[in-house]
Amino acid sequence: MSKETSRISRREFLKIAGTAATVSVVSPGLLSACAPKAEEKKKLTVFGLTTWSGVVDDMLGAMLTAWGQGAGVEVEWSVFQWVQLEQELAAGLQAKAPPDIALLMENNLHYYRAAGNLLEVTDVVDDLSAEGGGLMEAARAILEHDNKVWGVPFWNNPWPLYARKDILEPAGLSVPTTWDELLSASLAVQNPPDLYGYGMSLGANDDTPYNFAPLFWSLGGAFLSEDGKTSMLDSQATVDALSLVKKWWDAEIVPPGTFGWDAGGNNKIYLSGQAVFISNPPSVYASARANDPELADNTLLAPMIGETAVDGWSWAVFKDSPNVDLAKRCLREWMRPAAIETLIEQGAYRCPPYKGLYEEEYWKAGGVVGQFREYLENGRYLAYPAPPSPAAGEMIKAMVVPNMVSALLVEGKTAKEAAAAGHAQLQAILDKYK
Amino acid sequence: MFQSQRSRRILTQILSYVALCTFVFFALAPFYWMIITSFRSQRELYRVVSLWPKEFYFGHWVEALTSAGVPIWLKNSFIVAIATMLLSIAVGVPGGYAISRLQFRGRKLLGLSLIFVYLVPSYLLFIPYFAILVKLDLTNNLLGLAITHLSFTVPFCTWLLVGYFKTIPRELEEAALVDGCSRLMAVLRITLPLAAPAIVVTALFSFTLSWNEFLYSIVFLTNRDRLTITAGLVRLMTEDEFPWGLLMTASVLSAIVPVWLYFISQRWVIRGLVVGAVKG
Amino acid sequence: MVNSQSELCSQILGTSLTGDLLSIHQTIQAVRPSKRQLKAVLGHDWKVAYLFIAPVLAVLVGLVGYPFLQSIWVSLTDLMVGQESKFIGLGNYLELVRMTIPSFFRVFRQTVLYTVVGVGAKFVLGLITALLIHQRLPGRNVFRALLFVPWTVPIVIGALAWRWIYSDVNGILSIGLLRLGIVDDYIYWLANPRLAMISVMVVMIWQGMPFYTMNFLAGLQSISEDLYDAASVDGASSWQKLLNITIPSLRDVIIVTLLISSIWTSSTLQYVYVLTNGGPAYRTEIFPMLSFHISISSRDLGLGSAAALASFPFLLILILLLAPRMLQED
Repeated sequence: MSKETSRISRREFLKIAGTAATVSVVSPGLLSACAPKAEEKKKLTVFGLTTWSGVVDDMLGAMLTAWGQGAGVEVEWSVFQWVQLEQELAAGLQAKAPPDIALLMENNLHYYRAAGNLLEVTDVVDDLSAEGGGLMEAARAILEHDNKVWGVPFWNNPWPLYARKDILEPAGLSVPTTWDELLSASLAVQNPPDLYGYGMSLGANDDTPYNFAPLFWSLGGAFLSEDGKTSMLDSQATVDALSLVKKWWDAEIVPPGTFGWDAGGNNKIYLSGQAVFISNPPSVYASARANDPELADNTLLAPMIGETAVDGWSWAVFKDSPNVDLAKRCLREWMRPAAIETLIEQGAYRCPPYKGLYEEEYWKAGGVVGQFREYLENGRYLAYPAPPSPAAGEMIKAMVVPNMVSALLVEGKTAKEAAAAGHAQLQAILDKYK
Repeated sequence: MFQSQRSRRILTQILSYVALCTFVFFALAPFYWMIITSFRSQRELYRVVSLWPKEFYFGHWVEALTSAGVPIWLKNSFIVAIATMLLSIAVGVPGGYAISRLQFRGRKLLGLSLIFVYLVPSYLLFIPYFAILVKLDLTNNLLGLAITHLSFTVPFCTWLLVGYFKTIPRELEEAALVDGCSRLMAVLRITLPLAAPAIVVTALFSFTLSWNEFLYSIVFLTNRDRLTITAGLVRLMTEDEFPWGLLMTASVLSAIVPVWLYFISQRWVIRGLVVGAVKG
Repeated sequence: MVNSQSELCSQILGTSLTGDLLSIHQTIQAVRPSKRQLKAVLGHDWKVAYLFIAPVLAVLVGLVGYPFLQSIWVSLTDLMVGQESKFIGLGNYLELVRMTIPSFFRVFRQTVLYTVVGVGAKFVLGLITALLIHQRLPGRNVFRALLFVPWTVPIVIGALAWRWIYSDVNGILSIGLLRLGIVDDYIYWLANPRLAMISVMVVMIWQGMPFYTMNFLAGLQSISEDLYDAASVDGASSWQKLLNITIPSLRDVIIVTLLISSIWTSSTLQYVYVLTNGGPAYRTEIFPMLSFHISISSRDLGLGSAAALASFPFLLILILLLAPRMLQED
């Protein structure tokens, strides 16, 4: 612990010791009025999401700390996983003490925006866009509402298809481009339970809708209507997509363990060499690069069959922050396009949001990142064709897709019944946000 | 006759040992696996399944002990657990004594509410707590966390102590009072020394309860340097990929403390349980 | 006594209405209770006692009572994270009962199953191990110490270790059984909807059993040997001794242990949180998990608090049945 901390805790300790028991009884409001509020160095609290790469997380924190030292600001940098960040924000907002800055995925950004918790950051983003040679349309689309920008872009995650070159090539197969090819290639090379064809996530986790969506989109389906107010799940496309999942399940190309997976389940099965194909953000590739280069060398990334999904991460400034101007300044100086490029080149493997960055040598050289720009330009966000929304975020968290899949494969319902149940759940969520 | 009885006894003994060994195997096998896992490289973990590592890999231990923050988290856990322990004893001993010994209005009600307080699940309280800690400027603060831990250590410890104080003959204290001791002196000189084993057990319980606590730690502590070990473990479980080697290493490290504590104080624990749970 | 107290109050109140300060003063003087009276009302040792219990009371009221009431209040509002809320009466409770995914009754059934089976298994296994150790076997202290280990480690760690053992990717349990030829197909402990609950319960039992063993062992040590000797003279079998002496003597220990354990078991989130997150297909969703999912995933703090409180009446019944036993006087 630093000197600073131990000094504070000693003071706190005396405060507690003195009031030991009464502290808890007396109303907290009264106490806060008496608590000494020393005017100290300005402080910023920043919550990040794990990038799934320790090196990148640490670098990001180091950049922030360096900025703080330069600007004479004390920064507190914490990295969370998704669920934990939500929990922190829930507790923090409830207590009217959110962090100054937090990293949010697109639908959550709009949850907090719609709840009136966020500060507009249009000016910051305009400056940074100019610096980065313009913001990619796809990156900008998810940050705006009413012509205002609510998040400072970080990067986008594409969800390409991973394929094992060393398994496909000896069998004379190429990377599948249709669902039928995926099935036939899987059946040709798999050897369960040691090796499964498609490590599709079907469990109650955030990856499942992203694995289901491409299938469903390619058959003409969508989760939401264009205005984002109506569920589109009661369509033939949903039924067809579910039937296809059932077909794969019966053909045993999907690992039976999938129902127990968390969001990392498909990562693990791929990294352990037990799946030929998966669809996931490039974090799995980054992990293989770092821990198992042989597997990385044998991995091909290709556009997902049907459509490639994307998600977008951005930094939001909370309105209740006592230092909103400082928070904005921090983002303007810390999240510069060049900094994002550095992080990506250090092994993060993501899509940068700024056009100018794609002119860098790193992207021109081709290889595994060769198609990243196309992923972002042609990719679809989960809320497609609606804009990102709180309801879409809750659709992911309330497990609408996993529930449909388990109704079909676990409860033994028909595809039609499962689709109807999914539709009802989604519509109920949408109605709640009307 | 004698022979058959003896052979029967030997048979019973053998069967008992077999049964006990089975139970011990069930109890300890997960720890074996945990320890062995901590000596395997990430690639081996994903590729090989064997009861013994192909080669011992010390990388996770080096990482856990140097870079990953584990030593700081252990230190923080110590701070929180010791603060909780001291405060619980300071609160629980007089409270337990009063409930078991003194005549006052509301005694029964207080005893009853101790038990009721057990029922309030911690996941119900974390949001109100957060508001309180923010008001007191105690978030991200180890002592703030220790205070929330009192919500479950105090009722439990007080209740255990009530049971224990009841077993100490009242007459001993009364004799001292007759001899001209003040009440406080009588308590300090006679009752407390007799209750020492129970107090140690109670202290131990609050230490471990605090050390092992999970939900409040992950919600109230955010800064990486101020996490306790349970919160730190969750921080290591990055969402998309479990670093099993490192996780198991940190798990071994954080399990050592409570396990060791119980080993050195087993005798007291059992005595404490006798008085706490049996006669409470 | 209550009467005299209220009389006293109304007397003060009555006079104060007249607004005559002097008369208040006089009244107070007149009715100021003597030490004897206070002792009669508040108990013989009230001065010392109230001083001694003040800290406990502060913790109970401030750290549990007040936040608990606040949770009840939240469960009666439509509070969403970071938003304004309004009072909606029992709306959340109605919504909870009508909930279909997962259905409230499924969660209820599973919580009961999880608690009853878990507590039952811990009881039986704990009793067996305690009886085994209680025999005068050489080395019993070593067994006792080793059996206690799972209980001492943090639950998160126990659950994490088992998650790795159960893993469908290189998990030792499936692969080990397969290699030993005990099963001929891979078993998906946490993914198979029929197995998941059992798998979670195994972990909970593994970690919770030593608490029973230790309590029963402590209870066994306080049973007088004479009882057994007398029974032996009467020619009682071991089984009869168990049923007629051991279990009746352990009655109080058993009841108290079961009570504490039922409460801990049904309200512990970590096993399910770490092992299955309530899945697959909500087969392991129990109340604490449901509440966590609703409050955190759906950010619906009102409904989430209602879900957490929904299990409270059942625990309350349990406690009301058993609290007198825990408080009984010598």
